[in-house]
Amino acid sequence: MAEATPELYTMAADTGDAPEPPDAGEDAAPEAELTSAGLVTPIISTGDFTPEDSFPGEPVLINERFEVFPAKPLAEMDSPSARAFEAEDRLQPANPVFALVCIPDIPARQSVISSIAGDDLPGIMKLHDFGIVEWTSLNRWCQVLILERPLGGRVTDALQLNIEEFQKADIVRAVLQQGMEALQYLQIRSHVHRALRPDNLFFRDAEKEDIILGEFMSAPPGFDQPLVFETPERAMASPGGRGRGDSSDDYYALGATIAFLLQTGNPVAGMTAEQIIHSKLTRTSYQTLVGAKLLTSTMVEPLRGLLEDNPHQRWDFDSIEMWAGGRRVPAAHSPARRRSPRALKFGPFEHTKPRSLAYAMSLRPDTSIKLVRDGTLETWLARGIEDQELADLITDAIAAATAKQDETRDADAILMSHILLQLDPLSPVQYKGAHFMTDGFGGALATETIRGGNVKDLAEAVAHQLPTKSFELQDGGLAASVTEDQMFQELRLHLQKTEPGYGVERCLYLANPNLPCRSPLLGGRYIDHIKDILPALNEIEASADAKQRPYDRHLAAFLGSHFSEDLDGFLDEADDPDDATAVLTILKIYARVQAVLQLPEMAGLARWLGGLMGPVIRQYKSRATRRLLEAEVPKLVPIGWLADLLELMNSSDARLRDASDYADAQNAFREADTEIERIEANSSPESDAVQRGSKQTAAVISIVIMCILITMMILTN
Amino acid sequence: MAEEPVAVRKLASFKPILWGFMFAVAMVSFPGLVLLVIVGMVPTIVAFMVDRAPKNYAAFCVAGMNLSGVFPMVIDLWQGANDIKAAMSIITNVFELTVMYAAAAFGWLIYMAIPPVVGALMAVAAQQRIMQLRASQREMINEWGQDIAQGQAAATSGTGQKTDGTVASEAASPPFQGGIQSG
Repeated sequence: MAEATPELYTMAADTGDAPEPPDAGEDAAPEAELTSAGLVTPIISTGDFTPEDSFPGEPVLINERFEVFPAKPLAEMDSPSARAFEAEDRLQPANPVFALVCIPDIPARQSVISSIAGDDLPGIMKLHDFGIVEWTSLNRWCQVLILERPLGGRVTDALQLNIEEFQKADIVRAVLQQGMEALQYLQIRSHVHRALRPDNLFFRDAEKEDIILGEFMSAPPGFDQPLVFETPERAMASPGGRGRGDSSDDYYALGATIAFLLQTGNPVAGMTAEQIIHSKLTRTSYQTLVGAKLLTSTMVEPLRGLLEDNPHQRWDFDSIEMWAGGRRVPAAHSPARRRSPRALKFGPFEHTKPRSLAYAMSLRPDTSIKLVRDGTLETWLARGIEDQELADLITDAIAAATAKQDETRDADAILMSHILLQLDPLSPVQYKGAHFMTDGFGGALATETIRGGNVKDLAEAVAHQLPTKSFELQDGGLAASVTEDQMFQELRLHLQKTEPGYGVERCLYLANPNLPCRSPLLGGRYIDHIKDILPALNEIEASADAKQRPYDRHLAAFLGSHFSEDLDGFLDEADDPDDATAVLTILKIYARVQAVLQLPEMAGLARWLGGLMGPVIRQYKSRATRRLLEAEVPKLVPIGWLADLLELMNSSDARLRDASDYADAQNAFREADTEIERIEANSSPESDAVQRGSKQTAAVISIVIMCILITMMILTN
Repeated sequence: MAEEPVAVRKLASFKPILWGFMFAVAMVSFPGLVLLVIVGMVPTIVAFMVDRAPKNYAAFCVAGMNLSGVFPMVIDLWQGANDIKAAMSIITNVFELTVMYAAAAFGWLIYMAIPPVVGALMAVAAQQRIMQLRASQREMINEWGQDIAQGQAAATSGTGQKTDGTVASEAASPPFQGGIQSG
């Protein structure tokens, strides 16, 4: 064991190399090559999180109680997705604590953090508190976890000491016993650990008697796990897409952890990821992970039970209790596995089982499709495996794909995904470069988005309804996973739209409710709750470009997926090519959010939005109305109530009055034009009207003079 | 109603007969007066004959003044013997004949002198009205923008139509710090 541990516990944390997901084709680099035989924790990136130049600042205070010292890194307490620093409890200075600063962007398990913060969970490293702080060296806002500091160090360090083997066996036995109890408590609280591995076990006390499981909330479930500690099907998925799983996955990880702690040699040393998973699929996990060099043989039985590949047959807490009490645990009765007497050579292995063939095919899609198209697979299934039903299903899938070949370029990729699921219904959804468990889609999408990976394949997998296909093939069929399938159907609908608020971003936040908003407008702030979005924008206004709208694809998607009311109608309008409609809709959205969430006054955001209302004001034809509105906006800005601003800008009465007055004014203008034309045409001395009028006037004058003269003559006579 | 034009036509055909009858009665009743009027009003008769304008304004001008010149002689005749002899004495009196015809000539003078003056006055009045209307239109443009003078397509507001740069530049200046963007 001693010689195995250095390799076993080497962390990739300082390499900065981001592992790629299992790639397509023969030349695909197996994950194990990048992760040291599959035993090293995968990471996204830590290259920008260098302690040496990160922490020139003052200590930061978490919730007025815990002081974190950025200048004092604690490398020995680092997690794969978080960095450790010394911390102090101001209320109880004797309370040993340390801080874990989560790597920005990695979706921490916020619901777990909120649920267990401050609670004493037996066998679990206590999470005292948490908070969001601006980490000056990164110029980003990071989540900080204040955790109980184990006084005895890591269990793996103790096992490397020069102690007797029986002492090591006692430690491993304690890990089994106390680990099972801890997992039991977590199960009662409806949580899973999914980060159980040898280097995540600690001694709580300096006497090294009380063993606790390390933190598990700084990354998505299973994300930090070396693949040997994952069940074979979850190990096939990309690190981000391994899924939440359930307590049986924790029991498996505990079994694998015990197996590695209990052996003096590494049974998978030098094996690639493909070899490890192939071995688990063909020889069982127990035979793969447990070699001959055991410290003690007394724990073989629980190891076999915990490493049972069938989750229904896997040992749980009750089984361990029975075993510890000396009672016999009923033996697992796995159904006889179908095996072909004639092996099919594909890739580096000869396959006698559909599952191992499916896994090998998933790594080599280019050659796999030939195997499918030339009928070799169907023949092998029908004659080798003697499963005519499965062969017929493959035949039908090929026929369906051939029929759709003209409709889509991805017909072959979809066909391969369907066939892989038919051959191994427990396997992840595997489409082109995307490999994810159905409950790990969110994590996979978040991971790929963060590292700028292949999001397109994930989106296409959902668009082609591959998760639904996976649900159909599970035990219980689609009916057993209606809720999960509904989520994927919703994601599929959102993917069909490309406007801000939809698309991949919407899927990202729907599938990862705890993921902080990744809008560049937020300036690196850690905003994972909708009620914090508007205050953040309000704060940012002082330094923001006033001409830029406080709205982008990520903000729209985050609001659309987190707001309790349906914003989709607004989201459509907010992308309107007309500036006035777009900015007015943005104002409507924020006013609604502020009102519904009962957020405080926001003068900054009101000023920002008010400054963008030029196009809306110019919709009014009346200059007087425009001047009035422009004069009113500054009066409303200090109030900070967006609904007032909206009411001013979007008054239907004012709009109707403006339209009516404008129409009247148009008529008056037109009439004036007509009259001017008429006058101009009739006012020249040569015009008929002038001629006629002037002669008429002369006649009238003559007759008037006549009347006067005649009257005078009559009167004088 | 269909019979009305026929009735009008019948009335028109009776008109000369009616005039002829009245003239005959007047000739019989007041022969001197009729003679004086016929001779004194010769310029008017000539004016009616030469004036081709539809409304015969020239003839009316001449007639009005001509009648003013004839009327004193008619009064003299009426207060005197009122017979053909008295009428002939007036007609043959050059002075009185000159008065009658000079009055008619003054009528012609009015007809020639008044229209240019009135035309000029009418042109001035028209220009005043045009200026009023232009001022009113300028006010409307100031209030509603240049759009109101260009076509009438953008009649309705609230449709998201953007105003052109001219209008935008006419808008009031930004009212507050970091104010409303005009672009």
